[in-house]
Amino acid sequence: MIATADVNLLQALRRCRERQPVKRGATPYSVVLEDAPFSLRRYHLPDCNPAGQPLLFVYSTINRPDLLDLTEHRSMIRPLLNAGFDIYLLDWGYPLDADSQLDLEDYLDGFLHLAVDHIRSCRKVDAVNAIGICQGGTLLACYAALWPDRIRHLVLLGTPLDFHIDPTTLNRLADALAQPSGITGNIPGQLLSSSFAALRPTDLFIRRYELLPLVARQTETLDEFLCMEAWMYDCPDQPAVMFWRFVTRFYQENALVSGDLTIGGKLVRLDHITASVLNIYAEEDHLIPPAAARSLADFIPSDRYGELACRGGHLGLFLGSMSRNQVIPAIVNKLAG
Amino acid sequence: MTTSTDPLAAWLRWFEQQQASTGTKETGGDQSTPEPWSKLLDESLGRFVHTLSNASDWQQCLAAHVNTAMQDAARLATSVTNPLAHEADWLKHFSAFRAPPHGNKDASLATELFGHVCTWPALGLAAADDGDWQAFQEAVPAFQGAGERYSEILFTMMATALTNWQKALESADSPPTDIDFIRQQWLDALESAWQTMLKNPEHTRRLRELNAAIDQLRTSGTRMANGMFRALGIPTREDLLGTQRRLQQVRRKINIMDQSTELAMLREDVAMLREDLAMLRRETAAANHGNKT
Repeated sequence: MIATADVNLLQALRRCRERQPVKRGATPYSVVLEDAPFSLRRYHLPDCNPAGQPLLFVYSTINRPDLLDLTEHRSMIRPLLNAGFDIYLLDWGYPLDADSQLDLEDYLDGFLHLAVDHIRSCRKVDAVNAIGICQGGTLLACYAALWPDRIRHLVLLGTPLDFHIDPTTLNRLADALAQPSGITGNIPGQLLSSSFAALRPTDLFIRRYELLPLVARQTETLDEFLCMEAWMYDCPDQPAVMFWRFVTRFYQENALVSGDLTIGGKLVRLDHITASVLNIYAEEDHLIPPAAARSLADFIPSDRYGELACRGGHLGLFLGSMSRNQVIPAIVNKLAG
Repeated sequence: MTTSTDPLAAWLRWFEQQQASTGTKETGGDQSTPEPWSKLLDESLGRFVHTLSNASDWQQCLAAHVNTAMQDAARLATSVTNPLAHEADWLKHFSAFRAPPHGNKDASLATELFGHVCTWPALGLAAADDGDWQAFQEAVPAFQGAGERYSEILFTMMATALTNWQKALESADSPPTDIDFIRQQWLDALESAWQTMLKNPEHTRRLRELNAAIDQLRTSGTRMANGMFRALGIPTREDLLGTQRRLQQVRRKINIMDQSTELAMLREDVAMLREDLAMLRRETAAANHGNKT
């Protein structure tokens, strides 16, 4: 019943095996700064020396940033590189058990700050332009509030800021978590993958694979499917201290918008952001509802704040036609201004 | 390359075994020959369609099928809690074995006295040790109860899915004949019931209760195990965590030192630049003075 004219499921699975291992990441980069588990990548096209204005990507800690450069045709990095930007990407890496004590301070005042200063120093700029993706956007917004003179343009993509305004199933799952009273190690990445999949089980466990015989008919489409598959289930383990602080302070207590969040002894106030902001969100995002992203408008004066609402879901912001036709042109336009 | 632990390879092995056991040949994409994995599902759905089509009252027949499925779901819910009960029984037995003995009137005077002495209200080390065991004994039934209450809500979700599926199929004038339609209706009903459950505050409450109970069980169990590990000289998670805390403190100190080293170098550079600037000013002033005279 799931067979197509050319390929059935068994044959599709065999083709999947033939295509292994899938290569994620289409654009070459060099690691220019490292402090394990963190690293800072600088992308470059083979025949092009990046000389345009620097642009820093800050991705979520939950998944790998490969999503931004899955293949040559599904990449946010490449068109921005082609547009002349000097692209840097902050990779939070794969934390080990020894990293279980990493905290928000180590992420923001530590490595993110190091990365921003590295770019400022190497590219001789006072402030950098930065794009925050999903939870990476939340971290970047905190950084821009703590170090306002370091960020010139701030672009947020599908970024939650108000965690109570329109609770999703993800918020409800976070509410059901109880911070362990005793000793704990890192949060296993596989547990996170399963939790995300459990938000839409029939879609992700059954319907997604119904399409496989159809997908397997074309090698390029199959490779993209396998790249996505590999990305979806590649969640790094989360450092215990950082994870529980993020869950309790952001999700459960909504401390960021209530002005009650302290990082490194400093109060994080979103109205301290002096950067010019472009806030991009997806209207049908099942993880980050528009209201959770749009709440930033309450903290930034309208002459420095802009929004772009895109029709589609969370991943559409980074992949596919919505990203190509709406998101990337809006970013280029914003940063050129 | 795929390895033996690769899930893809495991799936392929399973498919090929099914193919061999059912004697199904390669279809080569021929839709008329079902794949081995879908054959059983298609056959059972085909029987379901056949039964409905031949029933004198197909809607009543559908209701009977749904009712049977509900009973199966209830059995499934019980089968989830039974292993929990089994685990809990084992843990209860284990904790009772370790718990301080109580006075036994049938035993010899010495044993009875020993039992009473062991239950004497103790302070210090003994009290802490007993406290750990007490916490563990309390955590076991709490975990069992939370597991049962969570499986109840799962069963309610399954019952809702079945009822909605029944309603969707009943909405037609005639019994459904397309097995893919029946399957898609079931997936829709299941996803909808699942989403309703996730949005239900009662689900959040019971899941939180279950998470807290698991945590309590883990924490109290770990405390007891730690004593045994220490006696054997085996490092515990607590020991590891202590080392990790120290490691992180050292890392942060190194970062601060790096920053202060950089600051010192910058200060040095600024001082040198100031000296150069002062010298330039002096030279410029001297040159100007020379020009004037």
